[in-house]
Amino acid sequence: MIRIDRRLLQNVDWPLLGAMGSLVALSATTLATLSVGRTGGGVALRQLMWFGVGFVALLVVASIDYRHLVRAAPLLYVAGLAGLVAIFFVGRTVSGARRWILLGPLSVQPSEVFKICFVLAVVWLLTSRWGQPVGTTVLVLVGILVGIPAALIVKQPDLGTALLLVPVVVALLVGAGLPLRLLGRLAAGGVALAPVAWFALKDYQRERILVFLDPLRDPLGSAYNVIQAKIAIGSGQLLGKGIAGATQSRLAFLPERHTDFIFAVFAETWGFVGCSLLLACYALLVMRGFDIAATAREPVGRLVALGVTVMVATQILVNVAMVTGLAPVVGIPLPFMSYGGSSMLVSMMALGLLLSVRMRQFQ
Amino acid sequence: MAADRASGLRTRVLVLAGILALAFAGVAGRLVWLQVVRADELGALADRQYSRTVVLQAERGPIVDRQGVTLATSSAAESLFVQPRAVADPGRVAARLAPLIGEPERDVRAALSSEKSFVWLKRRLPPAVAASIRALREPGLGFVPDPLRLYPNRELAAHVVGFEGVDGGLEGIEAAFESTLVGTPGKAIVGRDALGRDVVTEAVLQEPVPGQGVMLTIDRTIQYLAERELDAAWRRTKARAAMAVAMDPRTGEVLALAIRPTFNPNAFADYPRDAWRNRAVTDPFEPGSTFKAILAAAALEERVVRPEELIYAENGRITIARTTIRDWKKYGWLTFAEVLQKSSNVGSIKVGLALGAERYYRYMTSFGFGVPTGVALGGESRGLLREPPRWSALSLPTMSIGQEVSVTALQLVAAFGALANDGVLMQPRVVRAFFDAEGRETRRFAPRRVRQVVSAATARTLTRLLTQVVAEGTGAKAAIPGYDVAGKTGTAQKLDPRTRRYSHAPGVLSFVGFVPADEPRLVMLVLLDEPRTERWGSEAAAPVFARIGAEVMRYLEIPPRDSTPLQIVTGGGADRPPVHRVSAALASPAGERVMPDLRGRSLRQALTALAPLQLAVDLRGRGRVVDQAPAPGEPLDEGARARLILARPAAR
Repeated sequence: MIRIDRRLLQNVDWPLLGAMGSLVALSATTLATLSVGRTGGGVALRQLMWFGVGFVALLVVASIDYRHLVRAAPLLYVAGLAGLVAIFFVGRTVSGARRWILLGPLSVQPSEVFKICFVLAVVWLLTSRWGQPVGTTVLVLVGILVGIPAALIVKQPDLGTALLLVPVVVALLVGAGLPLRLLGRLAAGGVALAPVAWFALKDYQRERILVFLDPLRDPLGSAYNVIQAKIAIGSGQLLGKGIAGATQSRLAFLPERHTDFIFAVFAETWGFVGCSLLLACYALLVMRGFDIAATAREPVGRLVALGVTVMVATQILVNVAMVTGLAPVVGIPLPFMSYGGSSMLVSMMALGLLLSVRMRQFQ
Repeated sequence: MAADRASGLRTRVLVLAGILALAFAGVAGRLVWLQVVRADELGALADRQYSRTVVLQAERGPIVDRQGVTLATSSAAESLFVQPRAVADPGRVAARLAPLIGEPERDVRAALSSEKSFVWLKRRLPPAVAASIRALREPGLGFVPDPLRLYPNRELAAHVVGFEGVDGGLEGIEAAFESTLVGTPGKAIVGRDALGRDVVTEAVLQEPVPGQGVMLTIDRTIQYLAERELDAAWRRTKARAAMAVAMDPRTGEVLALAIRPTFNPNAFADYPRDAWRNRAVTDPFEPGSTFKAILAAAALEERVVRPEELIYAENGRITIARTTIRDWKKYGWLTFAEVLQKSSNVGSIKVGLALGAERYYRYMTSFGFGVPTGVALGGESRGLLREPPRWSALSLPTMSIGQEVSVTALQLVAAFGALANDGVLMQPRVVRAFFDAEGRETRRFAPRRVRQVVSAATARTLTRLLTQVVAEGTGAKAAIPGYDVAGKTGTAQKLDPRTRRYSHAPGVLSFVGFVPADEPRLVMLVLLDEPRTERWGSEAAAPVFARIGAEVMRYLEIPPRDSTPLQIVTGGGADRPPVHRVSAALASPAGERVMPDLRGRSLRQALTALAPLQLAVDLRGRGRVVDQAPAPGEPLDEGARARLILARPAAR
């Protein structure tokens, strides 16, 4: 049994939890309006059930000292890799991508769960005796830490999730004190690699990028999602169409409307006013995360907080940018909003880590 | 040094936070752009693609008789459309398609090479044709479910059932219960994208909800009997129109409503509008002598006259307000019973004068004249019944013999129903219940008692008098052997609805009565409008009443008068319920049992049809019968098994 110090409870970050609670409530109501249609009821209820599971996970993670978790990171990392490898043998294919493993009645997305292990592992490396000072050796080691899972995830294929590892790593390197000179070189290398990456992409991935650049290229094929989402968001206008009037969402013009494109549904229903509220909740959440990172007293806590905050923040940004047509379509769910057990679980665990760091900042 | 480093790293965290804050601001800016700046444009796009959906017709609820026999049903037809831009070779496709849909190849080709993005090729194709077109696997062709309305019993009860036009029910129950039958249409997108480009896709957005079924009070067998006899009389007498309305006096349920001329609702457009009209509710007529029974009821109830009271019939003529009204025979002293029996005008007028205008008027309205019955059929007339202040000196005497007042057939039947029902007027009804797609009853209409018009004693006294009318008087030809019939004949000149004057045409011959007189189960009016070969109600309408009534008594298994109660055991054993309603399709002319054609029927309909055959039935699938063994028309051996394969009609 884990003993919980009274002082720990005094430092619970209530605004953070409040923002999370509001987001889950918005998610459930949005899903409930969608379930009126042919998808059948129950999606909202299942999402709330996952929230319950996630909340337990949050409490467990928050009650464990994050330093213990970082110490156990190599093990977690290997376990996460094992999950990614397992996909190729027992994975379930949904619309052309092997991303799920069936565990009894549940389907779990190992790449989602892996992200937490990944953050902890990079933090472990950067704060270990090989990690200081942050120089070329560290870059190579980090490169290996990123490269193996990224390759596995790209293979699924799930390019979006793999790419999201990059900003997390960059943020952790910067936070750990990577000299700006090396950062510059890294950036230059990335730009130089871009043409090579282009040819490594699958046809549909290339198509998505081209469609992003020119949406009218294929309006009913690969650009359909983006155009429909844009129409949904735009037609929500200032105040939204309300639940009954949201024809784009209710009438299935929008694909993936309870998962990756849920933001468009929300935007059509509640308009710019609703979206502003939603983004404010996310901004509050992310800014609390940075605050926790900035006020952490020691490097491990700072980097853990920074890593998970950047992980969640980039996911929010990429999803909203994708749905509003600012970024190519990549399969990234919107944390706390999109329907999906793995995503909810991981987002809650990320918050658990933030709370853990916050509660122990004065120890 | 370490503190410096720590604060430097904190700064780095804040810089990262700043970068992400900028990104958030960028996303927010994007939302402003979409939801504020481009809001109108994108809103219009959403409206446009929403409005470009195709309506999926919900399956219309069936209309069945009181036994569940289908009078109106919807078959799973589908409409074929083409999106010409997806058709690569219009010539080749047209050659394959034209014979299947029965259109000239040239027209089909023109449609396939049209510049339009969407063209209907053929509406309401039967499922088999649709299937063979699907088998062509030609791109650009698509189907939308579009149920076709069928009336399997053709003219039977056509005026009650009515029919459906392109925009829903137009007449009868089809029109009156449109909102119940119609269901909720669904929606599908057919090949249009957000930019209005045309691409071949179909997606059902909302499944249609089938309409509810309506169960009528009409009994198919009684209706058939009434129509058969009425039709014969109508043809024989060359009448302009004819009608027979039968009701259960205890409940007000209309059992049969036959009208001539009639029409086939499957092809209603081929008939003159005149034939569509349900004259029993829309066309009021002067009731003539049948109305003397109403006068008698009022006079007896008010004790103005007693049945045995003697009335002097003035030797067949009476003059009021310088107008002379005659009897067709010179009578001297008559009892009131004889006045009715012989239908004496003079006697009736004297009773009417004794009763007085106010009281007579009160009873007429109480019997339901001058107000619509509220039967659920469109275009119901209230008839014509003026209030006493507007009566002339001649009004009371003429109304006493059923003139200067006009009534609908249904009003008259309901009023006689009250005499048959111990003086209680019941509201005439044609709808028994609603039921859902699974055959479960969703609403039942209970009998509605309107009011006690006269006392039960008066009603029974009058019934006795009316029985004598049939037994010994003018209604003799309405007699049904073995049963006591109570009723009254009528012969009236017609009030032309246009000129509002009496026409010189032959007039309206009618008989209205009920049977068995002691415990009435059937009250019925038979009416012939302007027959060319008969002059008197007793000559034309009464025999039709007798023929229909005799068959209905047998059908309802009502024992004849004086019959000893006797259980007649037939065939296999006493525990077997009497099967007295075997649909004609179930037995071949030779009487051997054959398999009915169940394809296209719902499970419930199929099982209803199979029930009298007492087969073991294997079922597979859900929905409607698509295949069956044995095949339709095959003879059935004892203990045969039937296998039914059911399937839901394909939604796309």
